[in-house]
Amino acid sequence: KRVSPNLTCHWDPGEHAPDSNTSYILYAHVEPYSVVSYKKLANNLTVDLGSFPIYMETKVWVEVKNELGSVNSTELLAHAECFVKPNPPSNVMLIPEANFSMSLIVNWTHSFYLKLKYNIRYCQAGSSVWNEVPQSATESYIESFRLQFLQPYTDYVVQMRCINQKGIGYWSDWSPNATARTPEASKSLLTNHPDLIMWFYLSVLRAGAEQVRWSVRDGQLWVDWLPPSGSKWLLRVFEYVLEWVSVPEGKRDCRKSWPKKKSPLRGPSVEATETQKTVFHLKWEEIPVTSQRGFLTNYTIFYKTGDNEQCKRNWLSPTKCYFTLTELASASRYVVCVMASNMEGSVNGSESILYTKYGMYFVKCNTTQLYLHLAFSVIKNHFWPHIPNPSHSTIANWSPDCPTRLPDLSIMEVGMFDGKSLCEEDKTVLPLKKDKYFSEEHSSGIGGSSCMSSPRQSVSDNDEGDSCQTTASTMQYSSVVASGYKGQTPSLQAPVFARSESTQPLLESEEHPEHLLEGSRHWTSGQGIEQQQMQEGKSSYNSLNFCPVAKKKYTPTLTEDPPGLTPCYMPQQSGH
Amino acid sequence: MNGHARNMLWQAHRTQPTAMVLLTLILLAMNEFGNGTAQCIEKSCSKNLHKGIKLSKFVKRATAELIKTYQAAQGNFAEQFCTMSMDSMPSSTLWGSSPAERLQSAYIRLTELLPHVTMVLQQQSDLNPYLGSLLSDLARLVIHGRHLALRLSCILQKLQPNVALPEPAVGPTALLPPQNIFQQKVYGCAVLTRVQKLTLLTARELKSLRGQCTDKT
Repeated sequence: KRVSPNLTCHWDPGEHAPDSNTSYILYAHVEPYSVVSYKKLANNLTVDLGSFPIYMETKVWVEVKNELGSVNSTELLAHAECFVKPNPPSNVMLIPEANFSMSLIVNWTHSFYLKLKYNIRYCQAGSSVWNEVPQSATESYIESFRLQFLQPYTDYVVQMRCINQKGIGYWSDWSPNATARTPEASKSLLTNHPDLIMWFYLSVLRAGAEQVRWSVRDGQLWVDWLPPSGSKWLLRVFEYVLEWVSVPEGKRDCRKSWPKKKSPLRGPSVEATETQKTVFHLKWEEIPVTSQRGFLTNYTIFYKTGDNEQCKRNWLSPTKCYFTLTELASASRYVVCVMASNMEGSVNGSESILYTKYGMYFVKCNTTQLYLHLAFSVIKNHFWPHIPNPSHSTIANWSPDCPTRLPDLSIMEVGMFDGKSLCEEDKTVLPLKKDKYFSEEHSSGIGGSSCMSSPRQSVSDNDEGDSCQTTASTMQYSSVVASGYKGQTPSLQAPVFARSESTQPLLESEEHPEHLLEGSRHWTSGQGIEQQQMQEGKSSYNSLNFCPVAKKKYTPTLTEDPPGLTPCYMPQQSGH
Repeated sequence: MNGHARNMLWQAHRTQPTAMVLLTLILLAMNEFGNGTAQCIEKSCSKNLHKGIKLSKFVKRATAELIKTYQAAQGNFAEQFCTMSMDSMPSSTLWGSSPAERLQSAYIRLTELLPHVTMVLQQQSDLNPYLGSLLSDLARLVIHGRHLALRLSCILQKLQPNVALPEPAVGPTALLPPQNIFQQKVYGCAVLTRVQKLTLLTARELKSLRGQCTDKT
């Protein structure tokens, strides 16, 4: 819509009444032309500018002329927009809403291409006292506004006007009356129990309502309040929540517990109804009303583990006393507490120590895997015995004085092992079979890691690497013979034996010494067996050399050193 | 306070026909521009620039609406009228290497085109004096076009105080050959289309001059 090209000027004739010959001339100058209007005995004139001189400077003045002379008024020089008086807002309507007995909505439409701001006033029908809405509430370029603090079931009249949003120019005239009636009040707020003394406390959550007040009239309770101050709230507040507490007559003194708004007296104690690997299901009891000292606005949960930063979950609804914490660290100790808040403050409840669980599922799974693995190994070794790989053997020197620890070696007596694990420290010494050895000898777990160390508790998939497993399937294949042990003197020449670092069980051919003797001439890279050599009266000891012998699977043997073969054992100097 | 009034249009107390008022104003404005005596009331360069940008955009929008009104008033085949070009009028292109030079060319083009808008108003009034809003809108376009030209001259006086503004061409429409009704219809739409494009280019040039005004008012 365009601005009218008609410019109207009003003036005050002055102290002296003009005579009949006084004429007035209105000048409106828009560069480069002027428009003039003339009239006698007038206090206003209108000129037609042809078109509203938008964005142009306009100069207006009035010349008064009579027989004695003429005089000009003050010139009004401004941009043309400063002379604009908008039309009143169009389509102004007053709309009642169901269940809102104390408010009405005012709607209108913008009717001008310039941005405007508005002014609203209202009154009860028949009254001459207008209530004006603060202009700050309608400064935005809006087309609706809600009137509040109205009387239910009452007729109201509203009018509006507008002006350039920058505040320049003139206010429009007031719009024609718009009339509507507020709905009837809801009965829910009413009490029809005169015998009960009802105490009400109003809490408007999070909206910051102001000047809350209530009164009792004709057996009805009326509550009213002002919206939050500041225009920004008008665009964000969409509802109010009204809560109240009824206290029986005998508890009248409860009102004293809330003489003024205060923070809660105490916070709730929290406990876990269920704990999981990364989850806590928390629950806490509701604080007694007398301890709330105001309507609770929210709960906040604080939780922390170790030296980590404290975490919190806030703005939990005050109507729920449970919550589930997730994404926690497993197998961890947490300190948890719940804080209760009302409008006046907050208070923490007592701390609770809670623990998240281990990955039980993973442990169970691994245990099952272990059982299956062991069973498979037993079956496998029974039906498919492991054939040693000679390539895994190496030559090493061993001296009985040096507690050299040889990896993965273990000694076990044939026939005495019934599937028991040799991972026991008390089985490091086992008697030898007499039919196998020339003298009593003490076998020792030569560097057997499993026997010299505490039993392993982990499960390994590698058969060869697991000494317990390996131990479970090995047979005794070596022994250490000490000269002069307990005064005994071997009657026979000590056999020569070679020893390797292999943990592989002996081959079956090792049970027959002649076979082994032949095999010893041919070094193979496979595991050798430990051979004994005892030299009577030998004062010097040579380092033990591992002599390659064809390995027997389970049966240890003693063999004679082949002629010319370097002794492979250095007898012990002291009794073993 | 003393004042002055030139080119006064005396209006009686009673209402006068709008078109007559507008035509009179146009003649006065044209006369004033022909004399080169229009004055710049606003002295601030930045304010002139600000108002000039707004006014050029306003005239562009008003011309776009006027083209629709013009086509609606021409009857059948109105859309074809605006697709045809004519050479008997100034173009809307600008020239110059600097924004100030291009703004000066915009001023010259505008002062050359506005008499053609007046010619269209006269032709349409002769064709149908009861067209109503079309004639009033054409007259308003001339008035606002004159205002824009004045605004451009004030800006150029601030930017190039030592450069004299070129005089607008005298009576370019007098050189128009006689036109039949069809040619007049085509001519009218061609003139409005060039005015619309020219005001668009003018607004762009004014925006590019935003930082060049040295006054802070």
